[in-house]
Amino acid sequence: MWFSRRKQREQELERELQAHLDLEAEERTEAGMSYEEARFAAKRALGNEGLTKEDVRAAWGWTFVETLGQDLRYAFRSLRGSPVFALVAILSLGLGIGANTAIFSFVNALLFKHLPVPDADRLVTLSEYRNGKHINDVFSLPMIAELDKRNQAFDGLLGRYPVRVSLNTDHGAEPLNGEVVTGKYFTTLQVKPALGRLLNDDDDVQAGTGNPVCVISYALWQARFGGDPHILGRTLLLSAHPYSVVGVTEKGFFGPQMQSRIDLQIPVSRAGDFMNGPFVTMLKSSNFTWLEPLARLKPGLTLRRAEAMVNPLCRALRLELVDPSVRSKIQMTTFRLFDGSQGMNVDDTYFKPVTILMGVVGLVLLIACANVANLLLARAGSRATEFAVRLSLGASRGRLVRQLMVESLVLACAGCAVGLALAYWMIHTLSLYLNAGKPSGNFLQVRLDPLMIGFAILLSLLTAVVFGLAPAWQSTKPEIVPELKKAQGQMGNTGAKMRRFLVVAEIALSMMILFAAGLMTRTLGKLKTIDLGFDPGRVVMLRVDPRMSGDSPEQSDSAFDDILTNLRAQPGISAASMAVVTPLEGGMISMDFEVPGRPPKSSDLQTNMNAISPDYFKTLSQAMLAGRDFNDRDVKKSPHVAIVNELFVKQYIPGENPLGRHIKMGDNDVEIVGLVKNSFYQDIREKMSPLIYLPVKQTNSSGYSILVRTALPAKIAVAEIQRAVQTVDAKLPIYGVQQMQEMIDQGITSERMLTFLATLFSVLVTLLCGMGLYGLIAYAVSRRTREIGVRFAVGARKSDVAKLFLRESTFLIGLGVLAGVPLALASARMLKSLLFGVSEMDGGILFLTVAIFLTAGVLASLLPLRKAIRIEPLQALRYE
Amino acid sequence: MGKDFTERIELLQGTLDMLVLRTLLFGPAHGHQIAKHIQRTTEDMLQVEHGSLYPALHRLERKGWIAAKWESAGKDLKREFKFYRLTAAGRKQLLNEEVKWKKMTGAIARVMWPKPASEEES
Repeated sequence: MWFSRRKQREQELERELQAHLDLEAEERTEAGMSYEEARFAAKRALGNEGLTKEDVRAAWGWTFVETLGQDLRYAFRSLRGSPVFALVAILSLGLGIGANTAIFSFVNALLFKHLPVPDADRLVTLSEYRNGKHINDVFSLPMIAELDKRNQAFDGLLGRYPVRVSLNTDHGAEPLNGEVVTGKYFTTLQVKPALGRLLNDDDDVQAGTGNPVCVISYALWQARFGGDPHILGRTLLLSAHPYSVVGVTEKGFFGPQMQSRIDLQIPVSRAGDFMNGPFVTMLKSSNFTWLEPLARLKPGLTLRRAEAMVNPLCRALRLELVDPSVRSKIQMTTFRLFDGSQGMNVDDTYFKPVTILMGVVGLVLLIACANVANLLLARAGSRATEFAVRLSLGASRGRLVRQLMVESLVLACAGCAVGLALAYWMIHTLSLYLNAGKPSGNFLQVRLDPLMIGFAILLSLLTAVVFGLAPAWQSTKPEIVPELKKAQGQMGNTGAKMRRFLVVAEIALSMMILFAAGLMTRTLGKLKTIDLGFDPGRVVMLRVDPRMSGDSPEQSDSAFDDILTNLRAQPGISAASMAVVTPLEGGMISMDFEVPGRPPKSSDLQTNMNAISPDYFKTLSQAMLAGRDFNDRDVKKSPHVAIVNELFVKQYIPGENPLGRHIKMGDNDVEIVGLVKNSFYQDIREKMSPLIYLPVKQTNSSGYSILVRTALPAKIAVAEIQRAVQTVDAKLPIYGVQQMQEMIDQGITSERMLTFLATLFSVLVTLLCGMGLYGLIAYAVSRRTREIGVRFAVGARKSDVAKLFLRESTFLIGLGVLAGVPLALASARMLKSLLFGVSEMDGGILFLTVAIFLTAGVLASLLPLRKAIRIEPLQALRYE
Repeated sequence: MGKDFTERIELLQGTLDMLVLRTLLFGPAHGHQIAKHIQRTTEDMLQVEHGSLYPALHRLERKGWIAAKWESAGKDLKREFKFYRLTAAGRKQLLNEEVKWKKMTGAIARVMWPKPASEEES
C-alpha cells in the first residue's frame, strides 16, 4: 500500500523539481543565454539534485525502513560480488555459533534442567559423610521411614530403588524400567495423575507385603497400551506376578532421575518380586542400605538450615536403628543435603567431556570471530576508495557505517542459520555417541530448544556488532582527499597491525585445540590397540534371567545348562559360555582369600574374581598357559577348584608352580588347576590385576551373561541365539544383546567423541588460520606490487622478493607458535584425567603440532608469494 | 545578476521555515516563487538553495503547517506547479516563530549594542 503511494510521491517530487529547473532555465534564456547554456547553468545553480531528493525523502519520515531495504539489497549485491569472502565469513561464523550452541545445549541439559515437577528447586538429596569423605547416598527402609516421620524440615521424603521389570505377555516378555517407591513418593514430588490415582502410604503396607498395584507412566500408557481408556484395573503380569494398574502419572513425568525414563512405580514393600539374591530377606532390615532418598524442603527453609535440623536426627537414628551389641563400634558420620532439583545421582560421566568441549568450542568461537574480523578489516580496507568516493558524493558517514553494519548483519544471520543447522546435526550425533551403550531407558535427552536458538541469535548479533562496527567506523573516516589519492586497495596502518595481531591470536588459540586433539588421538589409539588379553571380536553377549519369569534358583540353573547345550549344538557357533562378570562391562566382584603358608598382608586380603562356566576361555580366545579348563564335573559337591592369572601368581606365589597349590576362600579349600594369560577386567583404563576364576556351580552367584563366539554375521547370529534360548523357554526375556567389541568400543565413547570433535575442530581452525595468513600476505603483496616492480627493475632476484614476504609470514607464525606452546601445555593439564598412555606434556605431539602450523603457514603464504615473484616490473610500475 | 558570493549570508538554522511561512502569508506559491521572493526581498542577500528549500517544504507539509495542491498557473495553462498555501496551524506557527525570533534578535541586540542605562529604564 504505502509502496504505491510512495511511487506517486516520488513522481511528484520529480515533477516539482523539474518545474523548478524549467523556470530557472527560462529565466536564464530570457536573460539572453542559449537554451543549452541556460539549462546547464540552472542545473549548476540548483546543486546536487540527488542529495536534495534524499533530504526530501528524509523529510517524509519513512526513510529508515526505506534505506534499510536499500542497505539490505546493497549488502546482498556486494556479498554476491565477493562470494569467497561471504562464504568464508558465513562458514566461520556458522562453525563458531553452531559448535557453541550444540555444546551449550548439552550444558543446559546437564546443569540447568530441572525435574519436570512443581518447584523442583525445593528438592534435596541426602548423603552420608565420614571424616569429610562421601561414603553413602542410599539408606535402609527403616531409616527412611523414621526420618520421614520425625523430621521437621521436609514436606515429604521419598525413597526409591530402580528395578528391572519384565512385562510378561502371551507373546513373550518385554523389559521395562521400574522402580519400587515408598508411600510418600508422589506427594513429595507433587506429581498429579493423568488417570486414576497414584500410590500412597496405604499401598505400602510395611507390616506385610504391600498391595499388588502399580502406576504406569503416561509415555508407557501411550506407547504400550495405545492410551487405552480402560487401563485402570487391568492386571499386568510383572516378572510373573500379577499387578493391577491403579493410575497413570501426568504427561511429561519420567521419574526422579534426569537421565532415565521410568515406566512404572510399585510399592517398595513388594520389592522382593523384582529382586534376586540373598538380599531379598533383608529388604526391611536396617542393616541393608539400598533406597535413594529425595526430599522436599518446607517453604522458607534454606538448604543449610534444613541440614542443621536433619543431621542430628539422622545421627540419632543411625544409632537407634543398629543392633545394640554393635552400637559402641559404630563410627560417627555426618549427613548433608544437596540440591535435588535435577533429581538423584546425576550420571556424571558426561560432565568431563562436556566441560572440555565447552572450552574447545569457546576457542573455536574466538578463532572464528578473529577470522571474521580479519576478513571484514581486509574487505573494508580494500573498499576504502569506494567509501571515499561515496563520501565525496555526499553520502553521510552514519549512512555508510549503517550500510556496513547491515552487511555484517546479513553475514551474521546467514552464519546463524548455518550454525543452527550445524548445532542440530551435532546435538543429534553427540547424543547418539553419548547414549550408546547406556541401558535402555537411561539416556541424556538434549534438544535444540528455543532458549538455545535465542542464544545462537544473540551470539551472532553480538559478533556482527563487535566485529562489524570497528572496521566500519575505521574505513569511513572522512579523510576523502588522501584516500582518493592513494592507490587502490591501500589501507591505514592501524588496520594492518590489527590484522597481524588477529592472525597471531588465531594461531595461538588453534594450537591449543590441535595439541588437545593430538593427545586425544594418541589416547584413543592406545586404548584401541591395547592387548586386552582376550579377543572380543566375533563374540556376542546377551543376558537372560529365568527367574524373571518365575523360575526357582534350581530351575534357573538347569535352564542355563540347557541354553548353553543348545547354543553349542548350533552350527556356526564355535563356543558358548557364561560368566557373572563380563570383562570391561564395568562390573566387578572381589573376594577374601588367604594363601596358606604365606603371611597375609593387608593389601592382599581381597582379589577380583569371576565366576565362569566351562569354555569361557575358549569363547574369549584367552590363552590357557597351563593346567586345565573347568568342566562339567566341577559341581557343588566335587572338590573346589580355581583358575588364576599370571599376575595372581606373581603377587601371591611368586616363582612357584601355581598348579596344585591350595588357597582358602572362606571355609572352602580351593585347588588351583589352571593358569591363564592376564586380561583386563573392569575398565580398560585401569591396570591389569590379579584375578581368580571360579566355576559357576561352586559359587552362590546369580545373574549371568551368556557369551557366544560365532563366525556368523551379527544379525543371523543373534537370531540363532534367540532361537536356541527360546527352545528352552519361549517366554524367557532376552536383553542386552550386543557384540562384545561394540560394548568395549562404547566404553571409550567419551574418548572417541572428544577425539572426533577435537580433530574436526582442529582441521577447521587450521584452515581458518591458513586463510587468515593467506589473506594477510596476499594483501601485502598487492599493496607492495609497485615496490616489487621497482626492486625487480633494479635487479633484485626472485629469491630476494620471496624472502621479503616469507620473513613476514614466518614472523607471524613464529609469534603465534611461541604464544601457543605455553597455552597448549597449560590447557592440556585439564585433559589429564582423560588421557591414557600419553603424558599431557608429550613432546612428540607438541612438536607435531608446531610442525603442522609451520607447514600450514608456509603453504598459506606460497600462493601469494608465487604472485609476488611473477610480477613484471613494467606492469607493476603502471599498476594503480 | 545577483550579489557576489562573499556578500551572501548563510541562513541561520531554523529561520528558513519561518521565511517560507511568512512568504506564504501573501497567498499560495510554488517552490520557485518562494525562493525568488525571498531572494528578491532580501536583494539577493539570502540565497535559498533548492537543496534546503524542498526538504523544508516537505517537512512543513508533513507537519501540517502548509498544504499543497497541483495547479496550472500563469500564461502557460498546460503547465502545472505544486502550490503551497498556509494552513491555520501554519499561521499560528508563524506567529510563534515570529515572537521567538523577535525575542532573540532583541536579546542579541542588547548584547551587541547596549543602550545607555537611563534609556533602558524609561
